[in-house]
Amino acid sequence: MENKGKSILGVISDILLIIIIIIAISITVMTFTSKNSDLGIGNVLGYTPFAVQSNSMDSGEKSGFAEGDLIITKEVKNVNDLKIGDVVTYSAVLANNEGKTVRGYNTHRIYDIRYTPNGTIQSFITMGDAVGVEDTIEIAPDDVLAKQINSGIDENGNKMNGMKIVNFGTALEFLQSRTGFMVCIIVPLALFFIWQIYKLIAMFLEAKAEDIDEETKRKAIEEYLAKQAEQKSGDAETK
Amino acid sequence: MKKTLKKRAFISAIAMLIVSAIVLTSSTFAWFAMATQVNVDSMELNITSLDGIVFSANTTNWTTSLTSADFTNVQSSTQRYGAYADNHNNFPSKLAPVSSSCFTRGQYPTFYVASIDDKGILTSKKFTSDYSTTASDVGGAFVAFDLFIKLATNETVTWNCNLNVNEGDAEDALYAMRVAVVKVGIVAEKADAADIQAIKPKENSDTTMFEINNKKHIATAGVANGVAATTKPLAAELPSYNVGTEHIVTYVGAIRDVDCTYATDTTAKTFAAAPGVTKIRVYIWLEGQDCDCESAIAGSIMNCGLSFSIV
Repeated sequence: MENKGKSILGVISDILLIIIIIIAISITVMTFTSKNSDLGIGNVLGYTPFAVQSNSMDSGEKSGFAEGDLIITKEVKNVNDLKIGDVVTYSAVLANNEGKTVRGYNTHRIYDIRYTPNGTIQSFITMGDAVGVEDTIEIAPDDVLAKQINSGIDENGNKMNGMKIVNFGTALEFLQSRTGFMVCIIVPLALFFIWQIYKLIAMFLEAKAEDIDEETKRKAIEEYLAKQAEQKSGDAETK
Repeated sequence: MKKTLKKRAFISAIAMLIVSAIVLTSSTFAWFAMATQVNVDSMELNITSLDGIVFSANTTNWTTSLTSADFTNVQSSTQRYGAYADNHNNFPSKLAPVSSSCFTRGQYPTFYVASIDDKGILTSKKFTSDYSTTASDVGGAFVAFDLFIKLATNETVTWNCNLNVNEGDAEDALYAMRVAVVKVGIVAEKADAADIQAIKPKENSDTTMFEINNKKHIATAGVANGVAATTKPLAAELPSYNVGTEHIVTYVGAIRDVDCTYATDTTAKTFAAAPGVTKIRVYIWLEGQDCDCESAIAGSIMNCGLSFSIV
């Protein structure tokens, strides 16, 4: 019964460990790719998750998303592929909690596209689904970073449901923060590493103990056989 | 058999140890790499476009909004909108009174810093906004930066500026602030510093100096509201200081008339731009010759919002 309990615990801990390792690798890859990315955003195989920070796209429809959700986006290689209705993430100057303006990312739906006289895209006019009014500042083509997967308008004129994971944004933000990454990834990995060292040393000592035990047994048997042989020869002489 | 199993167990344990060591090392490295440095500036600058006009601080990446951080960081793989390498953008930690008439015929504006010692001797230092000389404006107590605007057709670009401070003590200094936009000329996209800095303004009319609240004065100025203050103060409007036998207000070596297009709150601030990339150079300073001039703005953050649109 005890053995069964230990093996269930072992399976659970193995599964948890695999999950931690997968998350650690994903976030590590994202951190490294963001450092080398021209756009400053990390990605895993070209896909980037973004944690939603406001409710400007929460219109109540399934096609929208709310603060705390996680949207999955793919890098936009060619802005000419974008259409009205696509939900895009772009670089923007925003006010932070302290009232300072800093550069960050925003995600809204393309409401209109402005063209230059020679037919190239000059800017995108965007709008939050819940806001209902066009954004004051238009978006330059170079500002567009990624498009939410599966977002857009279908042939019937309805908004499509872009890829998102409800309420997962907050968790990912915490995991991607320095504190969250330390607590949830680095500390468990460090404990696992120490546990592996301990197991290796224990195995080595056990193997060494077994060898000593084997040696002792072998010597004992040899001595016994030698005694036996001595006794036999002693008996034969007496006869 | 037992020995083989033991050997396998050992190899498996060593392999797990190596894997965990690699994952732990790379994760820890990523954790250190997560920390980013943030530049803290004395001036918060926001440049926005109202008609989809695109700007750049480097002629390569274009956007519809820029901040002071984009001008103080150099363009790199992680600073997409940063200023071009070897730029002469200047964002001092403290703004101090300087003076300029913004004369720009064939040259960039010159700025003067003046002070009077205990003996009443006036001395001044000149900052020449000329990239090729050693007396460049980098290091001066005024803001200067290159901004690029890209257009597809001939346009008249209009601009406006809002200035305010985040703390009340320095609010009076706003009355002596000046913003000048110098239209320099056309540069190529993805131009380097040498090409960008080789061109110079052509005419005084290509420069517009904006004085905020030019007819409103602070109490200590001793000048009634309604009287316009320009770079050259009127003798009757200022308290006089003796410099040898001359009053400072008549010390012509230190005072010049405004030598460019002068704009107030009610006048349009515009420039004509051709198709392509137009370089403009923007200056923001505390005008020492203004009767409202206070001492240096220290300990406050000045917010400047510059907006551009097409007429």
